[in-house]
Amino acid sequence: MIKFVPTICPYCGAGCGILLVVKDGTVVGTRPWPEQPISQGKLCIKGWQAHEFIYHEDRLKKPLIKEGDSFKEVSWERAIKFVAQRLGEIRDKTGPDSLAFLSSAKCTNEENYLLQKFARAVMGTNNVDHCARLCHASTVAGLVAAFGSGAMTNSISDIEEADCIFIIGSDIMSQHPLVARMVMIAKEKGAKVIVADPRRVQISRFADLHLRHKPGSDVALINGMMKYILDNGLEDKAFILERTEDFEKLKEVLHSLSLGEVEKITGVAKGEIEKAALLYAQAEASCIIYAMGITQHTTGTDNVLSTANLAMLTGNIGRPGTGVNPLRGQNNVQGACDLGALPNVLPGYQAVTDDDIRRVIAEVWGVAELPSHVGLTVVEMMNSALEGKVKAMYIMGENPMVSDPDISHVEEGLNNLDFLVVQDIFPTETARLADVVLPAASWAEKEGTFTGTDRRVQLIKKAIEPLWESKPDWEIICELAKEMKAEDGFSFSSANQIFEEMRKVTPQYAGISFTRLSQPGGLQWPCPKEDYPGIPILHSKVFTRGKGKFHPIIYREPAESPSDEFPFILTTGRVMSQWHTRSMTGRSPALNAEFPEGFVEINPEDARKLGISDKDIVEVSSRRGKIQTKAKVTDKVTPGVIFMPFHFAEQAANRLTNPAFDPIAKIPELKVCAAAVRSLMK
Amino acid sequence: MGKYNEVVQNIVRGMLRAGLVEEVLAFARGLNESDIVPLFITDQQDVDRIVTISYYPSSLAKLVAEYRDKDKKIGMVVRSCDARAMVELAKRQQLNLENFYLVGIECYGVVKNRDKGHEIYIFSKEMKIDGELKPLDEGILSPNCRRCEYPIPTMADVSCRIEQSGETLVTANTEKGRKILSAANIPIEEGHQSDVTAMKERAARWQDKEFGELKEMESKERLSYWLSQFDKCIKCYGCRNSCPLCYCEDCYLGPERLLIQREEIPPQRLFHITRLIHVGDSCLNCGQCEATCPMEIPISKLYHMLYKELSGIFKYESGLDIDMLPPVSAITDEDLVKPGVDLD
Repeated sequence: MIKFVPTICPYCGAGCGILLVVKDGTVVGTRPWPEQPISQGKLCIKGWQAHEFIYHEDRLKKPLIKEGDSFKEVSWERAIKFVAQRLGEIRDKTGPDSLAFLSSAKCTNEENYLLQKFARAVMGTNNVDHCARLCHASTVAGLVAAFGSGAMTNSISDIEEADCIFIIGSDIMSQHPLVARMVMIAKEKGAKVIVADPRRVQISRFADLHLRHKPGSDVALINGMMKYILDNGLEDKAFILERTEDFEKLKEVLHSLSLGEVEKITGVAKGEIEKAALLYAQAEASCIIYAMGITQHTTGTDNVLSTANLAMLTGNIGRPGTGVNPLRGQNNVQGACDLGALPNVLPGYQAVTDDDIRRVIAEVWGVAELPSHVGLTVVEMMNSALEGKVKAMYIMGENPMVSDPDISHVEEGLNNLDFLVVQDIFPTETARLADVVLPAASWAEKEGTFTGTDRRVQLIKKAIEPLWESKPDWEIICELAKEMKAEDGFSFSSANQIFEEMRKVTPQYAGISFTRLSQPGGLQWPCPKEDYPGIPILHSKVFTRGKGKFHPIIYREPAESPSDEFPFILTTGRVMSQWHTRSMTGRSPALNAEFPEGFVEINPEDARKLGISDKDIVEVSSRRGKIQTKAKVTDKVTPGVIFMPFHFAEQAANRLTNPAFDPIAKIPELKVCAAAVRSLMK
Repeated sequence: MGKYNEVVQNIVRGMLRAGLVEEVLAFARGLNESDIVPLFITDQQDVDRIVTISYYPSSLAKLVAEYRDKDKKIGMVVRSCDARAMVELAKRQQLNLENFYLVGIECYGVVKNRDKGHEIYIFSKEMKIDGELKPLDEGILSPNCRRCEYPIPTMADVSCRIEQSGETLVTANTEKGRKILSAANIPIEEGHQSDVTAMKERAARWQDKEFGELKEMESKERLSYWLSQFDKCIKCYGCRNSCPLCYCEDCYLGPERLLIQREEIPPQRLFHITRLIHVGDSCLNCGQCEATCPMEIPISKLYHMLYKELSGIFKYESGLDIDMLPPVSAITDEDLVKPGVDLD
């Protein structure tokens, strides 16, 4: 018997629809799902191969407890008892804040909701975060400050309405291919495309203008564009007057700026910046699309605020084809943020420091009180682990041993813990350091919801039963909570039941239910009531915060600049067929074979000076470490810049990256550090 | 919608009831009225979900070739491009037509992008716009459908001609077809196939237009047109994964073969040409490659154009007859000196 099960792709944040082909209870393939509004019957290579890792022999099959240097298989009962006992002991001895939790942008909304609830209500700590910290923490911080909501303002399908599309820091054709499709459709209809990216990425072939600015100079570039717009009276005066505040502050900062100076900082000719400003400001509807190219900086929040400034200055927000549109990297990174897997907010971005909100949520959760001080972020957790303040960590579906900056430091931190639990589908690099490893079920083996980058909440369907002895993450959390005598708040028997509680405390999701989601495309939040259709475009009449707020931003240099010893700027990113730490794609033969190993891109001019030929083995080093990898000599990068994908544990770019972080969003500067390259060929 | 699907549904019920087949693959309603998905039907109660709406989003032949139980008798509700694909797969020993019961529906094309205000069925020569009956707007059809010369699934076991009035004429084309109709208690009619003249004219007109636009280009211009189209390729392999004629288990284009350089996007330009060489002489113009292309590269146009050239030279028509072999298998010494072959 063959079934086609409609569900959502587990890779990027676009939220494409797939049909899993299930034959006699086994997943045998993936086909596109025509009626799903994001992918419309098309898929990228990862979508087509979404099923491939499910049955990989490496899947964690039974709970494991470390004995000496090796793991021993144990029963679920024993594993849960042991974890509950150890977490309880540590909390009682060193206090709730000696525990820290990493939730997961790959898990469902329900699971993220439960893990943060467990951390807060059962353990009593706000030390809960997830890898959104490493990708879009600056988006949430920046867009909340400017608009009042940290999410993509428009919808993926809305991009085709744009007359001008400004893509900054997004290798969109590799990383969000079905969003790139909308850009290509808009272009076909006549839209102008501006790409700002230090690298020659695939989309730049189709750009009317490609600005190859120096990594880390985004603020200067956007300020330069705004300066030209103001000097030439191209701003939307009515919009600024009616809809925004603090415009004078922005004007003041731009007043003293010269485009000559911007040219020096960015490396982009003045004329090009002027052209970009004209194209963006003069189009009827201009949309900004960005990704980690601007967020992963010590100035990440500033970069995001700059995009908001540019959109407001020209009235390009709240209408079809406009907006500030961050592309979230993971299938449910939007949802993990929405449901409060962050140290400063409860579900629905409600501040942990707000007494009223805490009281209301504590009542729903049936607990006397909730912790009121902001918890630790990802990088701070690792620092605290090393300092011995955090004694135990619980990591669900994340792999900081590859994904985090300066992984030697991460390793020291994790090794310094008294107790580490890792819950995952595969034995990741992080799981190897754990005291207890709990086998989780994959996305094809459970029910729940994912929220895509355009706030689209969609159902995922259980295509098969959990494999081996694995369990859905939400079931594991419930069992652990029960063992810790918190069964009242965790006696759920389905994802639907969890969702029903979740929507009571999450205003944006209040009107959404599993019944309403049972249609292709689900619903887009905010959806406060059952009879609301969901909202495709935010801020159309008023901003979520009332008026849009301009922020005067002054360009700051990256934390590290090239020096004699480390003369290159190393920037990092992803490739088309691999996914983050490769725990899934590395075990998907069709995907892994496309990009089987790491490399460093280096410009032919630099390569010649260093005597490096294509495919030579080279050493790349930074102040934090060194790795060996293969050189790719290519003009995709400009002289002075090198690029490495961060997927590969064997050639880990994150041995080199800088953990220095943005002061507001605490996102590390994964996109810029100083590095050196030398040939290892004899 | 019921009346247009009734006959087809009756036939499917009959096939299942009589045990001619164990399951039937058809397009059916999914999560809601507009969600059209492939469905393997074993249970009578699912038969009501079968639709004939003008939207067939994948090749059913590809799905059975890829996923079927090899020992099962399977029924299929097909258009002629699906039926023709079945013939080609059988020709290539990928399946045995004896195990399949094909119920064909006359098809005048599927729409490219659906407009919810339009009511169009695959058999429509007209369309309803907000309830009013109008002539079919060819412009909204998928380009490959406009170029299609084969509206009638004569190669299926049964072909159904459905009129806008709801009247349906059913013809058995094979002995299996007679069994199907008898299982469904439908009198066997002969000779009620539609006249295809108008369709052939439409196909010729659109082929002239679309191929003409390319042929008129200077050769340099044509090359740069295709190269710029190939630059859009994100190497999703969707064209290959959807093509009913691509069945190699170890694909020439796969990354392990290293013939197409890996770690490079867009892939080298010969990626698409390589596939063209593999399947071009038998391209069915089913349009699946283009329908699944995220970047809307007009691949089907290129493949169909080459197919038409070869078809003209070698007098070969793909998908009609299991005994008619493609040029690559049947080429003779005489063929090699025909005008246009130019091996020298």
